Amino acid sequence: MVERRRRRVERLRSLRVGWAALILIGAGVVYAVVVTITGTLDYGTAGFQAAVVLTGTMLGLALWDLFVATIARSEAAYLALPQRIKVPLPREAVPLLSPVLFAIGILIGHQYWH
Amino acid sequence: MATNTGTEPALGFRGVLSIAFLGLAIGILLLVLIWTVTAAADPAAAGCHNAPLRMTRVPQLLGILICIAGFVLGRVTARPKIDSRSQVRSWVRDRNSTREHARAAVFVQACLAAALLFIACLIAFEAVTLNRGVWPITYYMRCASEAATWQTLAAAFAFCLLTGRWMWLPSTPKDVD
Repeated sequence: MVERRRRRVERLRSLRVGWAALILIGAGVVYAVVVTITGTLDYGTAGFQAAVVLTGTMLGLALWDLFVATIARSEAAYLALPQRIKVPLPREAVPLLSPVLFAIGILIGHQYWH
Repeated sequence: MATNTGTEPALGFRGVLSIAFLGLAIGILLLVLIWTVTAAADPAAAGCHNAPLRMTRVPQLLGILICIAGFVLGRVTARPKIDSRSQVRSWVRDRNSTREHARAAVFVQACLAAALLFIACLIAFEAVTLNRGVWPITYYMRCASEAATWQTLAAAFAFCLLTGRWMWLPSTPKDVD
């Protein structure tokens, strides 16, 4: 029973939901660019619609993570995550990701403010 | 319930600095909140245009720099509970009860999902109001910036300082692949 549950959790966490999320986010960005260029929507509305797709996708990932973690809760806390996450960056650069992305985000926000 | 068997380390300079900056940020936010409530009740208080002006008394670049300065200051003055990911592993291994830790992790994940739901709703509201010509949330920020520029900048600085304290990634240990 326990082994069966563990195998099911292993199967679930091996699903590539991250790639599906990246495709969704990419589609949202393409949509925003297309409707802005064609004049269907102003760029502020289109930009925020893309942001809705982004946060909605992140919410979906968080809910998936929560779902897998709930199933695996009697075994371990981190079964929703893969064993190893490889980031194609130098090791020293990883802690700098959040401040750099924050600065980029605030500049993009400034663009929509302006 | 897990118990802390070790003795708590003494609060050093870093700890005092961290608490002082946390108090500073919370103090600024509270002062701005009190000022906002007071100004809102005063008919003579400064208002803003409809739509609020994009250009204020100070250059926008200064606002961006203040926000980034707050974020960086929050980051360097924070006293992180965990310095590296290897500490997380040892911390988890040392716990007596996996089940208890898993329950806590599920709770944190549920809080993260709830926070993302809240943010997604706010951004959706922004997109809908922008599309329909109703004041979006950003207009209220712009109105505040127009009517009370320095107070708004102070609040933005304090908010970014708090963000900088909590939005960080622990360093990657050198002894693992």
